[in-house]
Amino acid sequence: MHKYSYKNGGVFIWFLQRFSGFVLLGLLLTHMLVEHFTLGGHELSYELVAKRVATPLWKIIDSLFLVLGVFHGLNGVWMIASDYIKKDWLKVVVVSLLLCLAGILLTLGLLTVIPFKA
Amino acid sequence: MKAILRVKRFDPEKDRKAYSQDYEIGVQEGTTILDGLLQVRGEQDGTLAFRRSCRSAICGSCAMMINKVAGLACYTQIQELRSQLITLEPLQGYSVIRDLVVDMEPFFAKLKAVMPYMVHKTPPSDREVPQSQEEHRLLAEAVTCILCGSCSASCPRYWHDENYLGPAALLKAYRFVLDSRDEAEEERLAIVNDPSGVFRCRKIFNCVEACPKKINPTEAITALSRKILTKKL
Repeated sequence: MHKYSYKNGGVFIWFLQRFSGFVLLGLLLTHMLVEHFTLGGHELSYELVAKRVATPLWKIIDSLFLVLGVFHGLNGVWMIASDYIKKDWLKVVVVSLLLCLAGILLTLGLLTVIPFKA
Repeated sequence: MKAILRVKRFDPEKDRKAYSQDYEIGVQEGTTILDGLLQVRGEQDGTLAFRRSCRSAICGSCAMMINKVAGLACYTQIQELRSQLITLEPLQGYSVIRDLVVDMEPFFAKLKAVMPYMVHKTPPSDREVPQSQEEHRLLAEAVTCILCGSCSASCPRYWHDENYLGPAALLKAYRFVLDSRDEAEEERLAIVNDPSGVFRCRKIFNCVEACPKKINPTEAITALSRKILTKKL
């Protein structure tokens, strides 16, 4: 019989998943409103978007978007995968693959967002 | 009116694998699945095995999969199912002992793991421990659990993870954590914070739909999660 007394069941990951989901929703709505209603509307062009993306504030917002999106998405994949993977070695393999994927996505994303110039 | 009960049968002493057997029964207004099964056992096949006791949705013995949904045989009227072919299978996620009888031992072992009893550390007084109506209202729903196991039988995490405490045990933990008279909150929260505890719930509400007593175990699990988070922060 399994002994139920281990004191770390993943409370912070659980909280971060919900927190990141909430913040992502806010960021998504802000992005939608700015992009489609206040900035250009139907006359949206590359120049308009590039001008906005090149500002420091939007670089912070987009970086946050990227980091939270990658965390929320891949943690979600891991949550589902962990429901069905029983073997410990396979869990290690899947977590390693997901961490590598997170690293690649974050590197590519941040390399695009941070040095961007209009 | 007639109905057919398609029962999944398995006798480990002579069957190599489970098979289905059909029984035709007579149905009147108010006939329950359990009435049908008793009719079958009394008139057609005395070898059919199933558990039952109170026949009034209090003991929780007759839980089974009725048309693939966990529920109580004594509480489900055949006419309500609007189907003349009814499949009856043993509770999912439990090992089968025979026919519709499942091994409830792991279920009760998990229940025991969350300390399903009142813990009072301070010296007992010479009178009862009082509780206000507001304090009792918090537990009013959770205390009506009859431990039939339908919630756990409808939880995919429970099917997959043999260590997962499951909605029934977590609901029981919640019932005592919220009880103003209990003094073992820390210990109980540590137990449900196990890697096979509250944070493995995927909030798909299957347990809520399955519960014959209309209890909401998902809400209880979320409340426990929040309590653990507040403690850790």
